[in-house]
Amino acid sequence: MSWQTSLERIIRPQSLRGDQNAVARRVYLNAWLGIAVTMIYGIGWMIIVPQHGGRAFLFVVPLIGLYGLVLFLIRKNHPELGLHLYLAGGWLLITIGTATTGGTRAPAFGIYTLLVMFAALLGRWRLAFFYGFLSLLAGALMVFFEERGFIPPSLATPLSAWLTRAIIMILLSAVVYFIAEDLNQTYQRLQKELEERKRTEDALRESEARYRNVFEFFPDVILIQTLDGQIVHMNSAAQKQIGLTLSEINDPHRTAIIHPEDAPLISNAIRDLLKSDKTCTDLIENRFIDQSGQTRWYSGIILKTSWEGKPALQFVTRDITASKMSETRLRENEAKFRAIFELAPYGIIIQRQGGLVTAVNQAFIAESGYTLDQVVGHNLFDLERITLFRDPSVIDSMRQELSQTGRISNFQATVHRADGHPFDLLLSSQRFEVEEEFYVMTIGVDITRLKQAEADVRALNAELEQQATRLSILNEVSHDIAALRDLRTILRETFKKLTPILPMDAFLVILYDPQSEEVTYPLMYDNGQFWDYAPSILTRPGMMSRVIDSGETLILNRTEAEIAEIRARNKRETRVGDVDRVSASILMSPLSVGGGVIGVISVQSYTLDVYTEKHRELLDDLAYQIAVAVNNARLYDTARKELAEKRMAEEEIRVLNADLREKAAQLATINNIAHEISALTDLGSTLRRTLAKLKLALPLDVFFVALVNPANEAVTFPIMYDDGQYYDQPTGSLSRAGLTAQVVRTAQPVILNRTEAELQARQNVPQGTITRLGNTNRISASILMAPLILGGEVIGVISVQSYTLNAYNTKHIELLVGVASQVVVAVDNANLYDSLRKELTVRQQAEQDLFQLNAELEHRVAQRTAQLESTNRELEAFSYSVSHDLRAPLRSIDGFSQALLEDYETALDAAARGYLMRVRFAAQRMGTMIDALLTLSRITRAHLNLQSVNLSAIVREIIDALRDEQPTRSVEVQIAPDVQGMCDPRLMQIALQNLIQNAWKYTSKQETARIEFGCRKIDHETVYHVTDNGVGFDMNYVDKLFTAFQRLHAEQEFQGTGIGLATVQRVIHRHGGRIWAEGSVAQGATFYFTLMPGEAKA
Amino acid sequence: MKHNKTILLVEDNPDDEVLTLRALRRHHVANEIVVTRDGAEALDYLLGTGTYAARDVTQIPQLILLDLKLPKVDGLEVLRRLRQNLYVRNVPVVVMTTSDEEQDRIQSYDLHANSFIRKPVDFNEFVEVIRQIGLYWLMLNEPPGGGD
Repeated sequence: MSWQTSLERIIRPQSLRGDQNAVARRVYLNAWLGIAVTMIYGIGWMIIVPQHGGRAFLFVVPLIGLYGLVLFLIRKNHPELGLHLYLAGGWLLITIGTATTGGTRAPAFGIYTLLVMFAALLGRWRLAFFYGFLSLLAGALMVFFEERGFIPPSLATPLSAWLTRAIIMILLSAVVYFIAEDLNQTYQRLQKELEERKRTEDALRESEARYRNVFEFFPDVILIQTLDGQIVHMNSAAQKQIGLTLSEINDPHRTAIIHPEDAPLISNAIRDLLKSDKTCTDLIENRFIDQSGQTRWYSGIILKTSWEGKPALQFVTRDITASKMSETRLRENEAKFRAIFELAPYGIIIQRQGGLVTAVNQAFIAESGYTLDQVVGHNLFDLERITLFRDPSVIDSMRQELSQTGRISNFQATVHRADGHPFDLLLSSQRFEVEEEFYVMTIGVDITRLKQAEADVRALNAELEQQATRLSILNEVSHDIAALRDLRTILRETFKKLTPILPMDAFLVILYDPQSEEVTYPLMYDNGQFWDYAPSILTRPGMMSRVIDSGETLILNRTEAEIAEIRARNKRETRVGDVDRVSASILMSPLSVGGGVIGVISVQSYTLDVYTEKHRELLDDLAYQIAVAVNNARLYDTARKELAEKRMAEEEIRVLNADLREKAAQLATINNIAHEISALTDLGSTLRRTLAKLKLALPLDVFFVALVNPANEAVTFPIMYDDGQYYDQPTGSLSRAGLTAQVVRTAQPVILNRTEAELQARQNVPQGTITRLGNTNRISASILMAPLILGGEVIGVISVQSYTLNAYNTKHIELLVGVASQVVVAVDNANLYDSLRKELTVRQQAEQDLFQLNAELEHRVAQRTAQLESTNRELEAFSYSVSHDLRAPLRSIDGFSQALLEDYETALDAAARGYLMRVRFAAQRMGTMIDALLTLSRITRAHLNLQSVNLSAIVREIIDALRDEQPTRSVEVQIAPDVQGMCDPRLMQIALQNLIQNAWKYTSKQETARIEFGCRKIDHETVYHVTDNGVGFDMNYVDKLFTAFQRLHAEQEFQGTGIGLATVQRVIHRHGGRIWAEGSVAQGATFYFTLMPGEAKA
Repeated sequence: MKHNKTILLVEDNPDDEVLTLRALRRHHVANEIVVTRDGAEALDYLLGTGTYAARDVTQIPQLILLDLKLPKVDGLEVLRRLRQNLYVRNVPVVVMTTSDEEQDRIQSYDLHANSFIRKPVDFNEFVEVIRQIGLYWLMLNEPPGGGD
């Protein structure tokens, strides 16, 4: 420690450093200074005037002591005390000193000034004034006493006076220095503070200017809003983007600029912000609606700020509509691409350059048979793992093409599925770049299927062609059949037409009479020739009987072995046709009419596996046509035979014929209505089409079809065309002399070419004398007429006529005859259709009636249901009020009886109390009964929720509860285990509760009570029973047992409501079951009941 | 919102009113008991309307004993209305009724009744029921509390 620091510590102790200790510090310093100066003064005095050294000593020692005390006080942290001591002590010593050394003339008198200045220097003006005043007062006193001569004159020598004054001067200059120093320091400090403040202000101004510029010219919207919602400031971007001025935006009638959906978002954010101690919110995305009504997306923050001293909010937000849109568009594109990728019907695979597979689509998975995990994340060319490409050369050539052109188009390659199955692909690849990485997308189109599809189309075409041929043949056959020619001829022609489309070596039609089991062979063709067979009896069992019995078509494709076996058996007698040959393939269809089989048709071939489903269909169609033809022929035959036998009149034959035809039609109709309807066409439009075709084939002015009713010879005209227009020709009667009658009679076509003269003559016949048809003003010059023959009977005529002479020749006759046969089919079809329609109408009427009846029934049911519902509602309302309104007074009765008993206990005697107890008991009992009644009524209303229920478990629970209630009773209980019942568990619980409780109650007087629950099967019915050995009952009263409020025991004997068994019965009845009881007095009772499982009665 | 110690009894049957008050008194329930005699009056009391316009509605009863069959506005409607009201929706409501119709029970619980009690005919049982209600709802149960 150097001497300077020691000195420093003495002069400026640590405790006195710091601004607040300035006074103390100065006093302290002055005290030291005082000590030093006083010592110098004392020493100086001793040297100069040693003769007065004693007096100086008297003055110097107390002064040094005083200073020492001051120093001590200040060091002890009593600066104020030190100061006052310093001043007071100093003043006192000065006064004593001057008073003893010459008063005002003493050189030390000037020290007063020093003292006052010192006080002033310390800023203690009052002290300064005080001591100044004291000093002046002391001076005045001294002057006064000096005048009187009390004070001895100054002893000062010039030297001592000089010394004293010099010291005073030095001290004075020290004090002045202190003052100057102090002032200087203060000035410096102020100057510094001023500069500091100026700098701060400048910085503030600059920052504000910067902020203002940022605020004003910031490209984003900035708004300042006070907390009362007023927008008080907005920057130029805000004005531009929102398009409103400050006054417009605060207009309360303006529509909100914040999108209504986002308003809560923003208000929530503001609320949260104001609650929290954060200065700003997180980023908020919201929509603003600008002046033009357009919605734009913004993203920004809200900051806490202040406006004119009040807290406010600052919105800083940026228009992100464009980026939002592009983001959306990007997402959409991505989704679109993904959808295309995933849903494309072609396998697509995306791999990184080098072969690492990054994605495959669903079609790829489906087509290749690989799973996603097997492919994605693996290298496509890792031929050990992925065996799509087995040929490395294919990969090489693909890679090469890719690296050269960046794409591959329509590259054919064979690839392999996961299961090794090869398929042909048409591959297209495209290289693309994503984030500086190359990818290759490859699409594979499976052309195996394409090739297959082509083949399929070709096959389909061939089949269609075949079908067309088939249809035309069927058409021809049906045409023949309609004409009802000789059965044998029809069959032969059918056979002829069939040979080109059905491969066959044998063709046979066999008819079967179900009564006699006789089979006839109208056609038998085998191995190139026709065979004749006499009727025989059907062989059973056999192929034919199988078809006849089952009514189903048979396809039999024999194997080589089977054929060899048949040959080996060599049972020639059972074979037909060429008995040396054995058919390898057989197709045999039943001929069915009206649900019965009347024979079979069969084609056979010596070749193996010839017939397919298509052949079967063809044969079935044919079989149907032939069956109808055969049936018609048969019916016709029968009719003929009958007619011949009875020799009936022609009319009768016709009537019968019509009946027969109708029958045939009906049979056919019933057989296959759908088939019929599709073939049926409207006669009128068919005839019009026929006319249109005829017009093209021959000269024609008149065309008509006349249908003759054989019964009454009435003639109807389904078509009448004359001179370019249609006539609605009324029904007439056949004129016997006329051309029509001739054709009907002869069944031969007629050609009539009138001459000019004939024409003229006919023209002159007056109107009305002969029947004229169509345009009655014109006479036909040429007439062609052909009969319409159906089933051998002429049913009408068809005629074409011309106003031109000699218009027709024999060629035209042939044509018309051909047309006639078609028209016959149409007419026949129309007749059938008509009868069918009539039948349909009748049936529809019947259905309609039925429907009406049904509707009426339903209506009645609905009415009844509504009535029941309303009754039910009334019942519910009733029971509700019973439950509420009847119980409430009971509670009052009971409550107030109790109140009487309690409050007037002393006033009531025992009898009165007894009566009140009875009142209470009765009220409670009535309450219990009302409850029981309500339960009973509720059972009727409750919805049945049927399920399989373990009745034993319910019974056990009830018994357990009873045992808990009356633990003292000993009852032997037997419950058959796991007795199940189909019932509503809640209702059943009520029923069993009553039954078991009864058993429990009525056995209470038995020493060893016994209760049993079980079930037995009696006549396929489960009968449940609850048996007890209690008091039982008299079987004479068994009827009353289940009636409500009927009791067989006195209330005193056994308590009860009398409703329990009625309730049980109702539950059982609700389940559709029965309940009955058996018992005798003192012998116990058994209650039986049944449930009807599965039968719910609502 | 403050829960004072009032019990609101909504009961139109004067007998039941007397009996209920008697039963409460029997168990030394010291709470003030306000009786309203129909649903409209109960709502007026709770919502500070009609004759109760001057009432301080922030004084919420601690418990409401509610009969269902009431004149003017029935008990279920009262329950529905008070459950919609911000002030009183948390007040425990014990439905006390004579009926034990299932539909009443279901509807009461649907409307957030806190208890459904069928008044027994036997007065002693009734007294016991009231004792248990008092013990549970006034002593054990913590009310939803003040604040808010």
